[in-house]
Amino acid sequence: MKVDRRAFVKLIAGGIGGTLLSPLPWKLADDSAIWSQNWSWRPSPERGEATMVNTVCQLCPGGCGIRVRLINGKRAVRLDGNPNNPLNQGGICPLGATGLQYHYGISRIESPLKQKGTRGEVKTLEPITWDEAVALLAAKLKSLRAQPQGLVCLSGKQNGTVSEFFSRFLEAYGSPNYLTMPAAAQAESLGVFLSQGVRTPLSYDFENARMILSFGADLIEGWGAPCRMMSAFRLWRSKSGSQKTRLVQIETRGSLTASQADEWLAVAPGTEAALALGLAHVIVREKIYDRAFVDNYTHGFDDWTDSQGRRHQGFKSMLLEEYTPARVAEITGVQQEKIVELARNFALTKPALAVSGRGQGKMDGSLYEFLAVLSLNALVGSVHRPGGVSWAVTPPLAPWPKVVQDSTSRNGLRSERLDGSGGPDLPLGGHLLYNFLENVPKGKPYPTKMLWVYEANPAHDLADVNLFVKALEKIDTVVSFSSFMDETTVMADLILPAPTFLERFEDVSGDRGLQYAYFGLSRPVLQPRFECRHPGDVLIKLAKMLGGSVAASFPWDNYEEALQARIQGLAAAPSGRVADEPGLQPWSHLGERLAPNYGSADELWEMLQEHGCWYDTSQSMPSLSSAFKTPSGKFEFYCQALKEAGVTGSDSTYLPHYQPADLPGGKEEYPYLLMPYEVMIIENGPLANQPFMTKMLFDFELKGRDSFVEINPKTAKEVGLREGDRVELTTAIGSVKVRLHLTESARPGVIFIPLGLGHSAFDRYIRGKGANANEVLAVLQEPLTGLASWWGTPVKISRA
Amino acid sequence: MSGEHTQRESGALGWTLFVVGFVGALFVGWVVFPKLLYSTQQQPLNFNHAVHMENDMACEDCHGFREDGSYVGIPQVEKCAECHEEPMTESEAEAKLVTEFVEPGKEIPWLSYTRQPDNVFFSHAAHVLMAEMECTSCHRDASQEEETPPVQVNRLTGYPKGIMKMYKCEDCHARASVHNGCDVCHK
Ligand code: SF4
Repeated sequence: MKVDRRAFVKLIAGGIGGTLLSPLPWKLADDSAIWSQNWSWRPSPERGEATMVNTVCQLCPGGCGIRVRLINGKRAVRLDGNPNNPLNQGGICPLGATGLQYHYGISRIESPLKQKGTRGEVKTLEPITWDEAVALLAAKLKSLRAQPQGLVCLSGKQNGTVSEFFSRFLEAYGSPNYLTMPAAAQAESLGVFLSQGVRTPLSYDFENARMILSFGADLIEGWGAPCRMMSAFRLWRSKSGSQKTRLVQIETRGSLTASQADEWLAVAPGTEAALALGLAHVIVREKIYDRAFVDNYTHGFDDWTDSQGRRHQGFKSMLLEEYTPARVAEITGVQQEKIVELARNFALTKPALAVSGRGQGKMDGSLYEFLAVLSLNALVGSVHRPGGVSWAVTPPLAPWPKVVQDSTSRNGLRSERLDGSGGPDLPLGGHLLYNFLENVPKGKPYPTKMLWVYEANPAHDLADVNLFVKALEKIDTVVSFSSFMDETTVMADLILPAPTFLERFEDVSGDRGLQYAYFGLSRPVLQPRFECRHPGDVLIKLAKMLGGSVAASFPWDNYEEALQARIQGLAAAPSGRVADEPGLQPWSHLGERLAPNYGSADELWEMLQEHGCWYDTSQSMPSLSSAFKTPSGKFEFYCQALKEAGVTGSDSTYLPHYQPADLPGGKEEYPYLLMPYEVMIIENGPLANQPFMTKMLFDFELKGRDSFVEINPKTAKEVGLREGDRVELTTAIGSVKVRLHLTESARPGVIFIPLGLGHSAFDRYIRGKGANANEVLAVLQEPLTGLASWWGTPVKISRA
Repeated sequence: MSGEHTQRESGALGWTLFVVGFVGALFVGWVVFPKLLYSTQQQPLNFNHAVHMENDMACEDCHGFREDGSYVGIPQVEKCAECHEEPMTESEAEAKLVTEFVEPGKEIPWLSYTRQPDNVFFSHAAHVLMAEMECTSCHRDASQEEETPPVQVNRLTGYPKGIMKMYKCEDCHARASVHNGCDVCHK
């Protein structure tokens, strides 16, 4: 018997048939899908017991309570909102949700670095030990001590005890040059000071208002404390009938806030103040303003005579003469009937509030625009009333001992500030970063010897971004206190890596806008991954090495001790609680006293670490009769404080008014207007989009390495361009290459460019995505205040 | 022999071989392959479920939910130490437990019977607390077991035999009219 070829084929065929009818091939095919998951080199999440710990996010100043899911107590695998936190109510934003990628990402700095070659060159940054780094810096500071004002610190944080540590160090050392990055809180604090006599940002009782008029503030796209605003939005939308909250968005671009608002008014660029005054005109003309408030608690509403017998124009007659609906309609492009209708709605819906601060509020803003919007609140009596605006509420932290000064520091502090703030030309004060950048290259009024940058990224985040880079050329030493290799850190001579938000203690008091006192404690839930040190500890060490009064100003062993000392103030306050249960709604209890749920400062410290935050509702709004610290003791429409500060001019100088912006570049050469915008899924702050966040962008926002600008189809047709076309945008500042996305939400004639993209530093997963708008945006400075904004730059567009 | 005869003979042989191949393959596929695919592994320690139940313990005492709603799974050795700081009986397994794990504070390397693959998100809370499913609708009833059974581990994938494949999840979700979108399980 011979097994021939045929028979063999039959054997094989039978084998195949049998195999196909057995589970073998199917099971193998199925299993191969998960086979690759156990390859030894494939990263796999650590297994072990999962626990949840609470802390507070520090990725933005929003102050959200977060929960970290830990495996075996040491590997964080997820960040979530903490439902017990009254501010974010369990919510988390995209930046927070992807925050672990910062902690575990590869752009972290692993040890102190010293630039041994040319500034900006990453390859020549050499690792040094902490002892070397601190000794180096201490030696430099000692050699500069005779002229201490040459030390400048730029902080990316507007408040918090670490920022205070930096300004304290400068004060003890003898430099008046502590600066912060731009923020809308600047115009706000100044406006509140001029109209009410107290220099503070405002709080907005959004949760209790029934109508909200937003002048360009992108309330649900990252304005103020972003997650607080999201939960306020949910609250507005959950109400019905007479309780319903109406949101009216006044903004040139059809933003997310505009699309979610009950009404969107697309005003002509930069004319928000004119519209506010137009609304005020109607409210005054129709006598629907809050008589009781205006008559009893305001100054400068009617025409008036000063102590020298001079007549002055009041707010009312200025409004009636200059801001008629017809004229305002012409300026803003909003129909007259609409202006009248909106004004009536705003005045008759109670309580209602108006808010300003473009985008997320990361520009200084304009004093007069802020005053115009604030005057609307005053007209309807929404100042220091529930559902309106009041002053920022600060937690009652215990003060640190006073800074000890010696003659060097006293002399240094007497010198003029490098940004000219408080000087003869800019008597109103503030942090005028752009003036500083202009003065540095001129060495005026004196040279800048050393710049410290703390968690700020001016080399990417400032409009007209080359101003910063140019200024650096004239600064001898640049020191960066950052956790990441950002654009600014790359340019530093000495890099002192900070632990990330999951590795260190820090307090977050919430960003502007909250109407109750809030104190969030961020704590180290993870061991530091690298050789990083808390900036607070570094400052203490430096102070001790400098000795004398500087050392005496930092009497603590470490930052934690200094922070604990301040908590004593919370513990001693008669009212306040640690938020330890879900669903807290402090805004429903404003003015009420809260029985503390801790017995001592130690217990409070423990509870803060366990739960994350403390809050208090008892600090009620000031009483109207004693609130205002102005020359008249009232809310001043006519800001006499401006006169006292030495500002001269006609009556309108002292009243809220509208000035058309003086945009750089001629209309003929640059026929269109370029306006920046901010969205939550593109981080526009000291950090950069991590891959998880970038993934959420649509491919008409970012495709490969190209970012897009928004343009109206009509405008695109005018220049013969289509969806997706590659173009070059050129302004008086520079040019960038982008692609076009055609959308009706863009106003004809205006091109909208997102802020936050186009990083050149960090790591290979982050850099090279899109264009940095700051390379083409020009800075507009308000002449009187020196406050900066960059909401519009004339631009031309050509095919690239 | 004529050529014709040879052909017929070879045809018959061919068909026989076909059947041999067919049956052989079926045998390999159904009997040999599963044996080969899974290795049988013993638990590091015998756990007597029955005796614990007799001592009035409930399943949830060890396999419950934490305060935050997450599922405990196989408990850490700490849990054992709550009662077994010292041996309570003469049992060999218990002696091993105390000397090898409780005293040095070492975790017991239990083998899981049902560890789902990494690419799947499975929430016990959603199934047991919210959908009120019985544990035994997916897991074996271990309450009467005196010996922990060995674990069958797939040699190819490294996962235990008891894992659920996607069709099972989808099928049950479909029957219960629960959302079956990708992101329910693949986060
Ligand atoms: S809003 Fe700010 S604080 Fe809150 S989660 Fe996002 S990044 Fe963190």
